[in-house]
Amino acid sequence: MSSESVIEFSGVGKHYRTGTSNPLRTLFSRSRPPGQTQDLWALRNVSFSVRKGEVYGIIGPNGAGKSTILKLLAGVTTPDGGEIRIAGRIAPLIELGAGFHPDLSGRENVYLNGALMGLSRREIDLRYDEIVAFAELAGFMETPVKHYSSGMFVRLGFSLAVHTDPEILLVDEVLSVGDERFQRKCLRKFLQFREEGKTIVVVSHDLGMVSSICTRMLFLAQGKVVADGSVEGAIGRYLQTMGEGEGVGVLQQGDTTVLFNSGRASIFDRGREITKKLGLYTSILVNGRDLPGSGIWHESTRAVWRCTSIDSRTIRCRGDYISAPLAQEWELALDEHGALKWSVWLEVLRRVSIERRQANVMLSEDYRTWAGGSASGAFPPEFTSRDYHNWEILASPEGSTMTASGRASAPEVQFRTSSSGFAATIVNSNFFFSGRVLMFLDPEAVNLQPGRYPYFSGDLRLNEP
Amino acid sequence: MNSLRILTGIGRNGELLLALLRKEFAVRYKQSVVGPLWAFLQPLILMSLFVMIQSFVHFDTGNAPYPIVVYAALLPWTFFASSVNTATGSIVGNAAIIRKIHCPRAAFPLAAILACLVDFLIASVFMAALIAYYGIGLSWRAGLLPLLLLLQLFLVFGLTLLTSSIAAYRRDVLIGMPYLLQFWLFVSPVMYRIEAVPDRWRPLYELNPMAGIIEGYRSILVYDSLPALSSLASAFAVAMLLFAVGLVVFARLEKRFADVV
Repeated sequence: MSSESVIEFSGVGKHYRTGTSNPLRTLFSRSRPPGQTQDLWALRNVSFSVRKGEVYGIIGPNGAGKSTILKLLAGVTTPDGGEIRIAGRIAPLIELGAGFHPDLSGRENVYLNGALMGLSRREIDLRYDEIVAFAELAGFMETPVKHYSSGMFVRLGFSLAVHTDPEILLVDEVLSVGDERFQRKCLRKFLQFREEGKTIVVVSHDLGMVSSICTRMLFLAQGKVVADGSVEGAIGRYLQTMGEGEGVGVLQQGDTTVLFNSGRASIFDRGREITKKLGLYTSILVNGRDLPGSGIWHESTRAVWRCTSIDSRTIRCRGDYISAPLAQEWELALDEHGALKWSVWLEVLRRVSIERRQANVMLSEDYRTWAGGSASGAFPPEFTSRDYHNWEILASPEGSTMTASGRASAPEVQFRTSSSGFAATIVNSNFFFSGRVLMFLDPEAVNLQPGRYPYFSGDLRLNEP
Repeated sequence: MNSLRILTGIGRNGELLLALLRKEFAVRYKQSVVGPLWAFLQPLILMSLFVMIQSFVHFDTGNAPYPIVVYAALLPWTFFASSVNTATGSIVGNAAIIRKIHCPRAAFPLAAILACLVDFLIASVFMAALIAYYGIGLSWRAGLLPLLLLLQLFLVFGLTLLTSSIAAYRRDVLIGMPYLLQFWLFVSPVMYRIEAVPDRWRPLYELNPMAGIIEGYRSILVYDSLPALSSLASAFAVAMLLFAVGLVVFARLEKRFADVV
């Protein structure tokens, strides 16, 4: 094992028997070579390694063997071939609320699970208050967990797992449960883990989530490794292999790759993502007392997306908001010079009053300076805003073009709009996103009748540094 | 040796056993009215039944009152039957945990057995009451009782390492266990004394390790005499054999618990 690796799979295989087999034969034969009966190979010759401090994502369709890898990592099952080496204490986070007994109270379950994970009673005593506080379950700890809501169940399980002081955290589709606020709390916890140099292995179907938090990724199909390495590479292969049917699409030209995934577009330059988290996205502030979803920002990632027409140069997608009577259509076109043209239309399904709207690109924190019109400045290194929506506005330069520059290797990003009414705005996001945002903001409130409206059009260019 | 690792795993994590024991009790009596009183009721009900049968079948009691003759046997038998039954189902019953958390799995049957041991100790209080009521004198021989208990613990742990791990693969073991125990009760000297078994059947009869153990309790508690060495030796041999086989089988089968259970 190299000094840096905390997890190493070499040639690991795992098979399950389907149909009935005779357990007595398993008992008395020394090593029955698998494959004679109806064996299902969940993993076949899988090799990869995870270094300390990485957030390692595992993606793949159902039945690809993702959860089997987590089970092997957690040590609940053993491989039928190859070798697995793990250095460090692993928290069992395979599906949350793992070993909870329905008849026991929250407190009893915390102590039981703690003991199962190898903690002493005293060690649990020390963490107990923290576990309860993080799960936000003060006052419910004496209640049998069978009376918990599914959200409470999940919160307690997550809180317990992250408070067992693991060096390696295993995460299986956890962020698809719990409310949005708790999901963000979990993500913040992951980031804290990452900063502490701990290792996280994430399994998910949510490409957006994994691509935003992972540093490296494994793409698995039918128990075999298809791609291992960069996030963009693995997701690119995933999209090519799995078909670009739903809310995903990929464009590539020269050094530039654009990855559209459910309301956000990530941009890669020579395999390195220059955007961050939300990437290219829109956000609409809806007002109106009689409407659902009023008074909150609706990011384009909240919509349910379908790509309707895709060729090698263009992606066209439609996203229906569940949270508001709105839909968006995007067209992304990458020309031969690697410039990305972005056009957005808004479809209004019921009369709405829109207070403000944005079209943004969130860049990585590697970007250090900005320029617009005749003004320019530096991004502060710190992200001071703790509020999810109220970010720190740094400047509102004149004109319809903004640029951001960063480290020597990173291309200069030029973001320009041809729509009127938008004001260029330079923003530092909050602590959670930690991104530099070039924002086109239309602050004018409008009442819109049902119909289809042009929302935004602009382009994004990457210039050699 | 691989088979021994399943024991050292439990040893390293003594708190786990305690936590599982606590869970067994909390779960068992959570929605029960009489709670731990069941520990008395179970052997008491069987005792009343056997006393009723004895009133017209007339088993030989060796000049001792029949209630104490039968209760001295029901005490270890009830412990045996309930611990074998619950420990056999302990791997299947804890499937949710076994599929998710890596922990020493042999702790599950052991915790189930120890939970029944607590019932045994509660039921012993009634035994003491019977001894006092009938004015039976106990001697230094009562000091041998812990050895009998230890032998029985080895027997039950070995047996249930075997049955609980096979039950994870094949539920037949779970379904069949109550019937097996019913059969086992009648081929053990519980309602009758071992002297009632014809001599030519004795060697075969004593292959049942519970025969030696139950008669051991009875000799000490009712007749204040030493247990018969021959039947105890065979109980010891069978218990050790089962324990060794149980360890090997459990170590082999536990690898796939999470996949099959």
